[in-house]
Amino acid sequence: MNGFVLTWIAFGVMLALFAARAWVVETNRGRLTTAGSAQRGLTAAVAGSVVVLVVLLTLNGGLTLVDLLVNGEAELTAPADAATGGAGPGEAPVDPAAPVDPAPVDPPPAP
Amino acid sequence: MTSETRRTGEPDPSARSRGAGAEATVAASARSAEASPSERTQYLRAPGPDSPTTAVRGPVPRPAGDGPPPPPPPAPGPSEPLSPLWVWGAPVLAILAVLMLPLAAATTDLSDMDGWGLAAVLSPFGWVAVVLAVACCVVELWSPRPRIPMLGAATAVLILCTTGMPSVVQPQARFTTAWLISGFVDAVAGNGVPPTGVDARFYWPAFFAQWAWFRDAAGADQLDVILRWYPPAVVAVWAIGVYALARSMLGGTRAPWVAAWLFVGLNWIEQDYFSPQATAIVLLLTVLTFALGPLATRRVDNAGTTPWPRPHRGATPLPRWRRWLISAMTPPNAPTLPARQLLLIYFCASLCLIALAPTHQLTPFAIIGQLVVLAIVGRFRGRGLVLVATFAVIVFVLISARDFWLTQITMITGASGDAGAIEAGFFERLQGDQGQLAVKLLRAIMPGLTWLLAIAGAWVYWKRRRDLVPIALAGIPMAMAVVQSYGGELLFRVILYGLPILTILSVDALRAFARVDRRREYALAAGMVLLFPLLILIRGGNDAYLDVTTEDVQMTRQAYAEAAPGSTVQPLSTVGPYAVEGVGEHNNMASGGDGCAILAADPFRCIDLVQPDTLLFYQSIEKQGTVLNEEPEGWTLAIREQLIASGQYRATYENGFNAILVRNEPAPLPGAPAPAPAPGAEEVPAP
Repeated sequence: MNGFVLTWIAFGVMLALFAARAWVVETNRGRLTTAGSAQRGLTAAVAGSVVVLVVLLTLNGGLTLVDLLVNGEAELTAPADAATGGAGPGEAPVDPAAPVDPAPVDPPPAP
Repeated sequence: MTSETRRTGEPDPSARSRGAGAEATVAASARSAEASPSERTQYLRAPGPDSPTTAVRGPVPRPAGDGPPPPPPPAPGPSEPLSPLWVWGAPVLAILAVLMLPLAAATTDLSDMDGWGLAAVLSPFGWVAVVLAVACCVVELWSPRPRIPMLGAATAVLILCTTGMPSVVQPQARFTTAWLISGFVDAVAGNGVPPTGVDARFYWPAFFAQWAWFRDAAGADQLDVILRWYPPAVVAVWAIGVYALARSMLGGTRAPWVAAWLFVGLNWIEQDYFSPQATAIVLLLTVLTFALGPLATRRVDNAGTTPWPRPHRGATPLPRWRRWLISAMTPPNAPTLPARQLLLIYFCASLCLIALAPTHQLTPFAIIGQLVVLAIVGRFRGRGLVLVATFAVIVFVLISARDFWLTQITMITGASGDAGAIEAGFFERLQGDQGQLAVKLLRAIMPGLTWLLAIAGAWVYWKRRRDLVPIALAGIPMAMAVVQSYGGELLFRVILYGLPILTILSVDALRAFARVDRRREYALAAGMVLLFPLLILIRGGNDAYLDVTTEDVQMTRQAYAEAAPGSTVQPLSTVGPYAVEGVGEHNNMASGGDGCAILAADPFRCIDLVQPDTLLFYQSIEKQGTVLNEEPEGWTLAIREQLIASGQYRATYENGFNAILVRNEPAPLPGAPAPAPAPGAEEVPAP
């Protein structure tokens, strides 16, 4: 399981926690226990899931993207995601629009 | 509290009994002052979720003097019969407008189109259909009791006769990019995986995957009919969204319909072709309608006065400590909807926001910006939706579109040679013959007039509701202009994202204008008659070279069918349905380096450089050169003949300006076997 999959899972968990909190908040509306322990606990869990997601996003592309935006180039350490149809893990992605570099040619031997 | 008192429930009986004795005399004297029904306290029942909107009539202004107040004008009774004009007028006009359409299609000669586009060749029956459709809308709107189904039908007829006019009179979808997107769908339909290294749009593949799935599920192998009728269908859906938004923002029974019609009339931008952004706008409008409709709330100062904006001139705000105290002791605003309905709306809105992320590049940022504005000013419940949308976009871009930003970061940051959005969207397109220049200037004038009208509407809205949020919502998408490298299309998207709110504000201005003197409604009706033909002129202005014929489509499919595996198929210029098939297989979109993305830019050098195996010529390419680029007539024929004469290419199909040229194999070496002729290749004599 790589970082990308973990990030997607963290995103899914965050959505689930948001949904659970919305359910608790809205269905308890009008009662005296609007700020009960369930709601407080879910608020903390949502906040925690957001923090985890931010950390995972930072580690799985966020730093690289910022580096790329700031410096114009980035040192690629994380593999590209094969699911996107890009290059395989560990390989540099293919630039569809980049011109092909000419093959290195040895200098001709001196006569 | 205004002069109009609103309460819920019945009058308090205890208050009535308390006041029975001592206040009887006072009440008797007050009754004479409140004799007018319009000035009596009106007791309203609390509305249920499905209750219709209840209008409370305002008090009639009392003239100076001590005389009794005049009675209010009687409201039209429901049993009062309507004139046959109001009953049958709109349906008859709608039917006549629709009947004109086949006649218009049969009598419009599309081969004569020049720089003025469709408007110059549209049959008089087409113009009559437009006028009848407008008349249908106006008649029903002026009816004493406008019928919602009839207004809906009138709107549909109006869209069909204006936005849908090209779909009616032209046998195929008319937009090159629509055919390109259809080719993308075709590429995804093959194995369900978007091809790589072809086009950056494949990194946002949701729309292509959606239609590939629809296509496969329907057992179809092409989407030609969908492409043709997509613009009027999707504009009808957008108009529903604008109507729903206008109901929330304007109220009333007629103004929301006018907002929908004005939106249709001002939508010259043509982003409604078969494309991801057309679907994305549907999702955007859905979320915006939720936020400004059932989820709408208002952050009010519970102390009764707000520090800014002040409720009226000279109003003094309460001390800050007192406002805070009252605010802290007051329970929060309770939404009016039941919890389950609210949760369902949260779910649907979240679904739309998440679906936007893989569908389109720009639209998520537009809706996130608008939701952020609404959240900051406390206008909707469910601010978690902002987080859901933001993280959906970030996760998708960082992970699924990783290869895009790793390799094409300049599309975000902009390359040094890129033109700005305004330069690319307007100045670079300001070329062509007289008709082209006129149409393009009209395209520049229309957004300016729209914004002027909307600013007037924002002023009216401000005076009426002390609210500047709508104009901020319309302005937020303009921040996207910082993405300079997106190209000229960005300018169109920015205008389109703000257009629903702009039209609603404009209608507020027009409503205030008409209320001053009801005779001004005639001027507005005349303006509507002028606006919609203008829409046909502006939208169809490029039809000389955007028109696609059935022959173009068949010829292209034949070319791809005859192309050898791995060979390249390219058009002389990027108009026509050249990419309806073969995207990624025969047409990789990225082969034109060294200024040769469009072969016609420098035809012989570029053809020598790129060496496409199959060259496509369309009549639209010929028209593009003569109308837009000041080429002499027959310039594509001259190129074609020279290529054939040079022995580089041979024609496998020729009919007028349409042709397929196939690259000749190099001469075989002595002793090598001769290559077999291509199967199905058919030599057609030149015209």
